[in-house]
Amino acid sequence: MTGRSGFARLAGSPTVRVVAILLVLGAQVGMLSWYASLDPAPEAGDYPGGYDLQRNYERWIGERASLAGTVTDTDPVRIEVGGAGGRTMVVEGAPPDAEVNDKLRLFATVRPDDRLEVIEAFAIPPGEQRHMYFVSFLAGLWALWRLLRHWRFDLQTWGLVPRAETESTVDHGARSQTGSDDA
Amino acid sequence: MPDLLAHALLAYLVGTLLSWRYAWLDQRWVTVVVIGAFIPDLVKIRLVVPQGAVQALFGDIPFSLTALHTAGLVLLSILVGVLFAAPRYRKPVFAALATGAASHLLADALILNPSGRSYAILWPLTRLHPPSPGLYLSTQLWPTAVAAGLAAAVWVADRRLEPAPDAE
Repeated sequence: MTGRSGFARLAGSPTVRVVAILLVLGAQVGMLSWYASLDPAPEAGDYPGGYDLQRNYERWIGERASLAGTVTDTDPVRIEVGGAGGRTMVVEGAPPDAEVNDKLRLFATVRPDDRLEVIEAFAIPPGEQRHMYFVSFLAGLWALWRLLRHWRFDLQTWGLVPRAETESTVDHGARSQTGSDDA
Repeated sequence: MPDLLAHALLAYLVGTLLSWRYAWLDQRWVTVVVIGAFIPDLVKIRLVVPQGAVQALFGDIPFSLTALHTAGLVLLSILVGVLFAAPRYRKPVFAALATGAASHLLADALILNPSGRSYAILWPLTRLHPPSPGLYLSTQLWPTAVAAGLAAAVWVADRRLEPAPDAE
């Protein structure tokens, strides 16, 4: 793979790779902007969401929207869409177990005067959301620990390389030079 | 699938199963598969970076991190990862990251949504949000428990496998 050709050497050089990374990140920024500029396409299952309602509410009256909000009231059920300071809307037909501070996810018909008529909805308590973030954080730590244990940054070839094979990385299912292994 | 732990465990599971098939794929590479499983959720950066601030930077130009969870953007993110690896490892790093990322995208396509649809998994190839079988919510515990159970079983089996007689 590391050929002697000038191109191969060039392609491996840190400068070229940093430039390549920046170009890819630039392409990502461009695509993220492109995606955000797309109009909803309900026929493809891409329903208008909270962002679309905030930008141009009248356009979506009578249409179905897929969105989420934080419950701020329970009688009637009101949700705040788009984070703190967002648009408050009344939810008709909300699940009876919805409580303040729940996250309400809904598929609803947009009605005039900031009202949403539920087709399908469910409420997620804040405790469950916090648990999810915490567990995800633990997962990140586990992956990071594995990365540090199994890989290192090689300055010569400028890049991550696998650490030398150790007992912890030996693939037990593959052919091996060692004898029987009573793990 | 639900939380990132379930995704990471699923990736570990898939990676270790593949390691039984491909001799070069040892636990160091399973680690890369696990890291691949985090890529689609880079969108969660918006939990620490306020979207409002980012949008202010862009002014009137629309911008949203949501599409980081689509195949097209995930592919570009994988390329960044590949560029961080030493050149002679590019192909296997790409394959491992892609396997992990794909497992995440597929598992998330099964999440229950009120609209009955999942997300634009194949964007920019298509804007389609495929129908979702709605198997679980991202906040539910049981998918993680199932993933953990399966991962534990595979881990035990992996340690029990006797190495074949050497043929080096």
